[in-house]
Amino acid sequence: MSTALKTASVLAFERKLEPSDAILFSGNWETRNTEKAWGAIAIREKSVRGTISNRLHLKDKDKEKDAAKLDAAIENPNLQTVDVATLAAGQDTLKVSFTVRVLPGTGQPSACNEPAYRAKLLATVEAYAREHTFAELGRRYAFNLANGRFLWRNRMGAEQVEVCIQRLENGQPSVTWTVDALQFPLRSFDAPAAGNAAVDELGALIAQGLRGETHVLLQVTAFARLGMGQEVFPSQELILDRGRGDKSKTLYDVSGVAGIHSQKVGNAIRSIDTWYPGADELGPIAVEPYGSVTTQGKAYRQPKDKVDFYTLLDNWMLKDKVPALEQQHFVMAVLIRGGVFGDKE
Amino acid sequence: MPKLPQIDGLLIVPRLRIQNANAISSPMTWGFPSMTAFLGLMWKLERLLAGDIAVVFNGIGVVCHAFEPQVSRGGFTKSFCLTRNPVGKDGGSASIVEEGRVHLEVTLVFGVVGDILMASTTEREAAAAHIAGLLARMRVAGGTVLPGVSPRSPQLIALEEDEEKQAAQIHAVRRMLLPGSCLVERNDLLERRHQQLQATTPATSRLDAWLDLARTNWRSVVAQDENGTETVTWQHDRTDGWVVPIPLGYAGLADLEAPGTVLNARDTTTPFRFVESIYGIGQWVGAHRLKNMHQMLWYSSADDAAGMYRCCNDFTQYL
Repeated sequence: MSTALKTASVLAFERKLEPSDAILFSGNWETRNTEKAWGAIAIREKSVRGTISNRLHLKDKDKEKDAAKLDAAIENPNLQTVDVATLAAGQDTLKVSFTVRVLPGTGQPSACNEPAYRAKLLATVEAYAREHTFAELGRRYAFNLANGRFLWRNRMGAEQVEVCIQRLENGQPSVTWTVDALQFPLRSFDAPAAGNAAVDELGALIAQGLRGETHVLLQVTAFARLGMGQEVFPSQELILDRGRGDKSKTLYDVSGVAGIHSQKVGNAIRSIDTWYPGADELGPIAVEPYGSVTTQGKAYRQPKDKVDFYTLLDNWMLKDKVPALEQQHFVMAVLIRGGVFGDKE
Repeated sequence: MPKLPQIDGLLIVPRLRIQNANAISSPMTWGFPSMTAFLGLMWKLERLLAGDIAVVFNGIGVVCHAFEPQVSRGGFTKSFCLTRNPVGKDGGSASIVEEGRVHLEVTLVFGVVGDILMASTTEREAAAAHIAGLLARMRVAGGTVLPGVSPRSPQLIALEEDEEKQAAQIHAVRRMLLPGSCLVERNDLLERRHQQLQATTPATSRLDAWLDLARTNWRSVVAQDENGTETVTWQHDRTDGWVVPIPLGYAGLADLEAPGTVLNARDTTTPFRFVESIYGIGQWVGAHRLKNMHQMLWYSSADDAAGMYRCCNDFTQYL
């Protein structure tokens, strides 16, 4: 069978960690346990008279002629309309809340047109699940919930950050973990003594969900003490074909409440990859087939280094070359992330 | 003429909140996800339930309570908000494939038959809760079901034989669906518009009629009073309610191929056919206007010989 095995041309996986959009509220640190004390943060528009500050290029040969033009360009005001979101004037704390569902069926392709490949894949994932029980992955996902990485820029410069994670069963919280997120590092997965137990328990629960043993639904609520009236950072919208004169920055809202895209929350939760070349410098990056980091415009898992997802998966499935343990974790994490991985030839 | 199969009961899953559902369901329309997505959901659900619960789904109705398309605000022309995707292996940014997304709140009404309808109230409640639990883990039109905050629980109702009692039941169900609008098929409107247009322009095709019906046409009407003064008023032809162009299913472009003979097909055990979308006219009707549940339920009809795979709705039969 192994000689005839080839990668399916249609091969797709659904994501197994399913976050909702995160919603932003404003309130006070002292009243963070009072449900009613929180007001929704709305997106406002603001028109500012800015300055020209981008780099202007001056050619040497017609320096004199351009100098006048340059002066004019610099003197012109740069008028722009942008979206902003802030805490209310008398309130100092941002509340971010979302839910995460862990779906069963890791490694089961949602579409696959090669029955033999599918069987091999399922057997491999099952063997991995039996031996490693998704414990390492579950713990790392839990860690990224506990350290508040999903707050992104809102976490930077926050005085205090508290994350409260509840497991929901039939709509009611059954277990609650509350941790001081700033005690957790962003660059490693070494939990502080105070939060270790919470991460272990939560990690075990997520791993259970990934194995399909139980239905896991988590409610995550984070409080970040930023200072009164401080600006907060919801997701920015990507709009192609923006008309002239339209806003240069638009922010995301759900029914009028500022929000962070579910995709962005998901990216933070799956930032668990420390197994790529160069991980010492950058720390964990999001699990991506090529280890790509959008903000740096760089992919860390190059096919030529043989550590990208496709090389690892093909070696594992087709050539029975089992990757090193940490790369196995990586391959599984990509399957949990989901995507379309078919081989078109 | 296809007809809605037997319906003995209703399964109602109230107030599903769906995030990032597909809003471009055909090459020519955008907006609410296509009914094909909901029929697909129904079949998948039936397969998941096989053996667990004695129930067969024969039709599905969708009531929409909230619709929040992910488009740019402000300005006359709107465009879809897209996602920034991870960079490729060379570090260059990935090309953006335009996709439209929408957040929805819908109530699903399934028309069902099966022994479970005879069961006790507790058993039926348990079955309905089980099905709603499965639904929560599935994708609806490509979107994610968010954990609900609905005060209502899912219900499985056996319809009464007696007409009067049934009418009372349906009255109660309709109240549950409010406030909400329900998508139904109105191809009679298309026929009517086609005839109207043909009266002035005989060469008008059905596609012309469809396009004409899909937009608001403003026409000037000149009136003269007794002094001979002309006044101009503008009138539009949007008098038929909330009419929308919708995709209805697929029509075959080529012959049916034997299973496994087409390269790169998803499934090697089912016959394969190349298809294109077919279109029709739908209407959003307030749930309180429904005379019976048959009016809101959609079902499929597949005709291999004619190459027609279509979603059907019997709304007009009960007008």
